Amino acid sequence: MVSIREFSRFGKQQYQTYKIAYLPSMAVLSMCQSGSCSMKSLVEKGEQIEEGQIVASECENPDNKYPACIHSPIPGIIKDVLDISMPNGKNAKSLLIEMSGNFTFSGQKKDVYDWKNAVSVSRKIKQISEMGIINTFEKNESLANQLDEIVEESKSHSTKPLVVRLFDKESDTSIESFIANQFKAQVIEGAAIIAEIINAPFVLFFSQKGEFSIPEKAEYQDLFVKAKPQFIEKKIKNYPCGNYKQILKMANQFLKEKHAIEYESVLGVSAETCLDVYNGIVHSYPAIDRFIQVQGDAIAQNQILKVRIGTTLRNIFNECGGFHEQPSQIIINGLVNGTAVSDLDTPVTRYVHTIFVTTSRYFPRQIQTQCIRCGKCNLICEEKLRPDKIYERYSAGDPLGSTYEKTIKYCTECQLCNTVCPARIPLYQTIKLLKDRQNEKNF
Amino acid sequence: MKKTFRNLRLSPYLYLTPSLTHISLAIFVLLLPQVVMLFVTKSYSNLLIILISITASYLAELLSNKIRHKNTLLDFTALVQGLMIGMFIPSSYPLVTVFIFTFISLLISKHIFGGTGATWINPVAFTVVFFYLLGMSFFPETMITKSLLEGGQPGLDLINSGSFDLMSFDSKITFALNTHFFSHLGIEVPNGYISLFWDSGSPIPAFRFNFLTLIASIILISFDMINWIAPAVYLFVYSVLVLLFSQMPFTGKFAQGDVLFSILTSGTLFTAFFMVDSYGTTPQSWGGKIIYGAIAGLFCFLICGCGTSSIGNMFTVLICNIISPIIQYFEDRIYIYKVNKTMRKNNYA
Repeated sequence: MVSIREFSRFGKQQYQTYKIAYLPSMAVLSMCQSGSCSMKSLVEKGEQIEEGQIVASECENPDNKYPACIHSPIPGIIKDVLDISMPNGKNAKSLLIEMSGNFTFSGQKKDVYDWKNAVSVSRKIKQISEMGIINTFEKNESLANQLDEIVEESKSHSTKPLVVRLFDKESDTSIESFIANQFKAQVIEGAAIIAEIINAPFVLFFSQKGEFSIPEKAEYQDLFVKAKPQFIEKKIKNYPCGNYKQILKMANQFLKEKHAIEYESVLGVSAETCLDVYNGIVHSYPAIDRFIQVQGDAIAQNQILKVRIGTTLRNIFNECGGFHEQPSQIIINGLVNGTAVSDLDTPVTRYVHTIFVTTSRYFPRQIQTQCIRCGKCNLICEEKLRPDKIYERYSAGDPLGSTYEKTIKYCTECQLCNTVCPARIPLYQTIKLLKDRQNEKNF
Repeated sequence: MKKTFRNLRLSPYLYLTPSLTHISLAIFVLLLPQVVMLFVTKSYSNLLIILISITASYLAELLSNKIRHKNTLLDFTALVQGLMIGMFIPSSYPLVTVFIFTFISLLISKHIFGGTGATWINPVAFTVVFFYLLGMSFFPETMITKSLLEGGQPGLDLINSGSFDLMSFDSKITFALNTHFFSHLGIEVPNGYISLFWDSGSPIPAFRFNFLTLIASIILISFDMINWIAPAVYLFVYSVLVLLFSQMPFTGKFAQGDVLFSILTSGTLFTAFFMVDSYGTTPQSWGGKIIYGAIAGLFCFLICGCGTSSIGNMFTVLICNIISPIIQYFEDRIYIYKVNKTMRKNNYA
């Protein structure tokens, strides 16, 4: 593992407040708000829609039982339906909504529903799907689908614990810890709702030591009926941290020590997901807002913004006072795992957490050269993969060999191999490509 | 949905290691003080040789790129290779021959053994050995003779006989070190070693400025531009062997070898940090690197002995390069065995 400090270019900033961004006069609403699932639009060009109205509820993949529905972030008229570049680097069909009409949520008092007694588990799952909640813990997939699978599984197998990650996976970002601190009560209640749905025996809240103040027991004990909530502080020094494998290991370590029990799997959720669940179930407020950390040496003001999905990067940068230096790259969702976008009209989607705007001064040299067989990628890989061999064989068109092929599925997508490669070879990208192919084949 | 990747840059946007180009440039910049020292010490023939070898190296790279339809000129490896070749060629070598040999040798090396990274033979060592085989008379002979060895102190005898130029500051620094540092360890270093450390005066530039080589190496290792394992093991094994066994065949004395003299007079430091762990030629695992370094140290002892060998280290590197694929083969087998064992343990078919 590598010290997390080595991965920090701008230093971790702790934010105490956030700013609510202006609503966009023209929103670009992507039909692909989760990691991979593309949705079918229910509305057409020229149609008038309300704020928070469901505009897509059916996934193009029919196997997706509970897709995360998409809601209009603003009231308005659909001006056009276009293919637009998204923050993940792919193109997606998007609705161009011009603001007009009355607001359903903005400026209105939020209703409060009693989630404990009011509705059944299946209704809650359906509501999570309807509220468009995705689990941003790892793959940005529909949370309702994950919950449904666990509930189905629990009929024949024992259920699994819920683990809430209250810290950020990357060293430069602090959005999860910010949400966890700012909306502590809501996050805990959101976790309690999820725990009740999956009938979790334990709810483990993992936080970075010193970043999160643990609440008093009296503040949360009434929320949990069956589950035992536990707050655990960890001193996280190394990258990668907080991926599913590590969270499972941390959870089992704790449970084994305290309760002499271990689990094969857990449900990992982020603080943001818990907040969305709270808003969705308690207030019937759909996931139309995102907290976004805007940072970098090219941006005038680093801050956390509460932004409506569909807001373009251009609007966000204006909100932050524009650029005080010529930006070289705009990177979405982290400097290690993120994607560089070239279009300022790229809209914010549900899976956007951070936007880094860097000048060329800090931009690393990325010209690819021939592999020099230094072996650094092999030595750093925590899962003991051989990225250089996999790349070498794949790029030469040779068969990978059964051993290398088997190891691919263990890749945790941390990108450490890429970060140490002096030849700047896209090692992770190659492994990811092969892993995706393998998954498709197995599916 | 149609996948259209429009980004020109891939993640990550943060790196822990400098790029190959930056590493090559750093090595070049860190070797420049030695070139400057050649100028200061009026070693103009060495400077000309370096200039010519860099030119020949670039031309060989250019032609090789044309033939193989590649562009590797901007990664500056040709620059470093040319500089290093120039630093291993004695000052008396004819300039035209330097150009022709460097050009031909590098071209042969690139096309038989592969280009940067793909080669399993260090092109610099290959070229220098090529120079040696075609012009042995230009390389200085080993200074340590049988009679010196039988005397028991070949290094000190050579220094005392005036075979090396002593610096004016030598005795002062030696005295200061002996008084303030070595006396606490119960050791006394004779005069002359500081001069060898600063400038051994060899006609081969790579053998001369051991202090500058050490500083450059420390910087490169600190920034993770060169790996320290194989060089460290190589120096350790060679030093131990010299210390323990170098005097035994001649005087019968155990552990009486002169380690400092051996390291400072054959370009061992330069070879350790700039040649032993050359890209593409060394094993990749820690274990492999340790074995590789140990074999290099052993061969260095067998070939260079107590020092002053002008070509021994280059032969050592070549021999180790030939052994390296065998180590790498076993590295792969062990890896596959370990992975399969883990898979079986986890019941993954």
